[in-house]
Amino acid sequence: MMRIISFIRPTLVTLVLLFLALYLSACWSRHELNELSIVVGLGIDKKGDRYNVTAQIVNPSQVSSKQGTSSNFSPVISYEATGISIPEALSRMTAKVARQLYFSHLRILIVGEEVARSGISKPLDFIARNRQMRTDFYLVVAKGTSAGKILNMYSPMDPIPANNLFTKLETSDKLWAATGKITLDKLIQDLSRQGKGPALTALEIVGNPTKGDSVSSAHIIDPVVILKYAGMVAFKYDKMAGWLNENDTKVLNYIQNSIVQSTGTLSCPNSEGTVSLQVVHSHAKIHVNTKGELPEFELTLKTEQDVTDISCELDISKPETLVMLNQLADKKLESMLENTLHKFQKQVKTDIFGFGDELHRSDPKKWHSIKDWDQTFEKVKINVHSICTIKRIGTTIQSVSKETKK
Amino acid sequence: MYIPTPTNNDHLLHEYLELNLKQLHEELGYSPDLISRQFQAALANGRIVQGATVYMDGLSSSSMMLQFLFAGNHENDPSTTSAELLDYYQERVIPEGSVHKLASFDELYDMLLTGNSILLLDGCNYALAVGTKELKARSVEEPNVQSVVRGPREGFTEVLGWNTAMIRRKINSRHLWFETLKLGSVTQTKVAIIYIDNLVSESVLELVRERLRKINIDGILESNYIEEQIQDKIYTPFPTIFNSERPDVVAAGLLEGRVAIMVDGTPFALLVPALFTQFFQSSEDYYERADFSTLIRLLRFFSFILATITPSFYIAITTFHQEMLPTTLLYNLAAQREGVPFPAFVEALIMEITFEILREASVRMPKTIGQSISIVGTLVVGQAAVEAGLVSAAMVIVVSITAISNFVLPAFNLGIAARIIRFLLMILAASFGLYGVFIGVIAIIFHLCSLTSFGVSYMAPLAPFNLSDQKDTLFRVPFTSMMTRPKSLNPKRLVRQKKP
Repeated sequence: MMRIISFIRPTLVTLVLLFLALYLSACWSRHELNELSIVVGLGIDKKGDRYNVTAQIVNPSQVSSKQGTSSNFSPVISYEATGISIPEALSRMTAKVARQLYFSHLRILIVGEEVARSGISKPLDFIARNRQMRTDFYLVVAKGTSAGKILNMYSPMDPIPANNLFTKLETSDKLWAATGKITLDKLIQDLSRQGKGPALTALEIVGNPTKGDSVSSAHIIDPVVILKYAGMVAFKYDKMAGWLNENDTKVLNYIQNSIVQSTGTLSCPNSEGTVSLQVVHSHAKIHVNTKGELPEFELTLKTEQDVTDISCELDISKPETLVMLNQLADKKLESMLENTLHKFQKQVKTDIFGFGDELHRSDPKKWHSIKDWDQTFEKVKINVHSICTIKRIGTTIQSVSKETKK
Repeated sequence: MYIPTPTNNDHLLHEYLELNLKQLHEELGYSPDLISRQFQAALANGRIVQGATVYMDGLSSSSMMLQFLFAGNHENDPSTTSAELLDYYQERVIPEGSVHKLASFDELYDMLLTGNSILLLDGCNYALAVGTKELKARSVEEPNVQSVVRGPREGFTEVLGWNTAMIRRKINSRHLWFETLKLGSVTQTKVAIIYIDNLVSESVLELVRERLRKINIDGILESNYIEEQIQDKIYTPFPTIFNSERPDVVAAGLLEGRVAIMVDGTPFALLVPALFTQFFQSSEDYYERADFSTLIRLLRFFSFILATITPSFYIAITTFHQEMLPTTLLYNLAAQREGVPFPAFVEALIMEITFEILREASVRMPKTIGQSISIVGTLVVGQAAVEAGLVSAAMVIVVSITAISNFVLPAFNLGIAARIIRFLLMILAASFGLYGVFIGVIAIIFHLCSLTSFGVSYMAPLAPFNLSDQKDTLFRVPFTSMMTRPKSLNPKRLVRQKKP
């Protein structure tokens, strides 16, 4: 009898627990894998005052590593739909797509240039609000074309173009200072800050776009069409303010301390040829001086560089040469920084670098006394210093061209 | 030796041999394996006495008794009555260790049916029982369920006396005590309680005695008959009594202060109290280096978790939480599921049940073909099922890793628990996703913590936590650091070895 009683109590507890679980359960979100359309790329364009949404969907059986006969279906399919809002367009898309759209594995979100110019905050709300969207995909702006067209391009190597774009951006961001990966949460953070405008990487189509939309284009060694990252786009509030060229992007990345590695070249002194320097470590610091009426900024950029290539007759074994190279590199970096900063102060008139943010942090009172930061930014003085040290010269001493017997 | 005292006068032996033999044959149903050999013996005064020796065919050595009687030298036999002759036989003639006088039929049956030979003489109302047991039993062999790479190769047999001798041979101490009792109203099976007198926890021993005394079943054919009647909780998939067919395991348990229960007729001895972590320990842990044993032991815990939750995890993630999969893996899994008609849960159920069928079949099949059939069966069924589009290839991997992990567990009965829980968790996973799996896991942990084994918390020494017992729980420290016996077992003497 005791045993039966001791059995009843835990059973009841378990039953109650199970019933409670029913109410909390997630059974409605149950989807088998073959009931999902995995969206990997999403493009947002403008069509009049409506949004044109393009979704790139994976066809798993063409992508998986399973060997066997591949029936030459395209590995991805893209669908288009138009609506007043993004969710409306996506709902309309269900009439075309075989299965339910699944956004958790979105790799890249492409915003058309027109949308960027008219404001990205409206379409972004859906993206930020959606339960399925993670925040680890990258946002880019289509340059000179629509997002839909980019999503219709086939990519060599990786069968999934969106995946290709994702990894491409990730590697080039790491090894080359002229691109920048921005995720959704970072973009929203930048949008909500006053002292720093957002900037997104730009993406353009190189080659003949009319031929790039077929798998057969992957049969050619030299790709007909390549999707290429080309600088960045500066935003003023949520609207596009101007393009950043390669140098501007480098400067932005230097100031944001988001450089892992980059390469720059110097022309040789006294002779023809160049010296390539690889930046292996960089650290930028903004110092704010608020004594005057207008704040003044001291930008110090500390870099550590390695010599990777010398194509002139330079005697690198002498310490003086290294000192000289240091000075040249400093000069080059300083002029590069000054040029870009000047351009953004006087022409684009937006602070994407975060000077305002720095001011806000170091002197909040002063910051609050300034009404329009972008107007003030035009007028502030920014002094630039570069402290560069050349650390390693590689595994040979003299350049090959110097050693070559003439 | 156990001798019941006669209580019923009706069952006392008669004085006449004929009557005795008649009643014996009658009461045993004229069984053909009852052999009675009659003989004549001459007394000193020249009288001839009728006698008979009775034994069960196959249980005792027939020739031994006859040799005493016929080949023995009875020249100086001084007896003048048959009672004297019987005494003379007991004291002088029979060169056997165990000779008893019997007065009642009850005693007689007891002796006769356990393999003794009975010597009856006409004109004498008692008999002699001579220990001429000759057991036809399996010899000591290597245990085939709990095998080890390094360690003793002997396993228990079906004979209780041999088994207790094997333990005695390992522990040569006068403190190794045996208590025997007979259980089973019909089978009269001998059951031994074994413990080391100066180590054993008194409360556990008392519980064992008390619970064994309460058993009132007609027959005990295996130790599980006892296990189920003395365990603390019936409705649990987890075993709360440890069993082993290895004398070294039982000896190690006794040295930790546990109590062993052995049943005549089965090589499996019971060991109580049993702790949850004990089921992850193999005797080999102590025969290999400590570092290696620790790693292997951790691997077993990991395998148990794998064996329990892998299918449910797979179901939950692929049907509810696809966002948790790495993107490339998602493509591959989605591609495999392309064309599979069933939901992941049904798919898992098909494969799991198929596997359980194959496994059960291979256990029941003759040993020689069992193993090959199981391998071929799994391969063919697995691969063919994938190719036929019934299940996805990933599911075959999930089921295989589950099955293999299950075999890592050294205790077979804990593996059964893992198998039962696995199906429950799969149902939870199919209806509630990971939320359900974790509700299930939490419920199982609650349940485990509520269990006791002979008054000792089942999850000890993890819950309640005992720091010094951790030396031999998840880890196995070298013997030089294992100074005490497990505290949670509450042994009389805690110190195992003194610091040098």
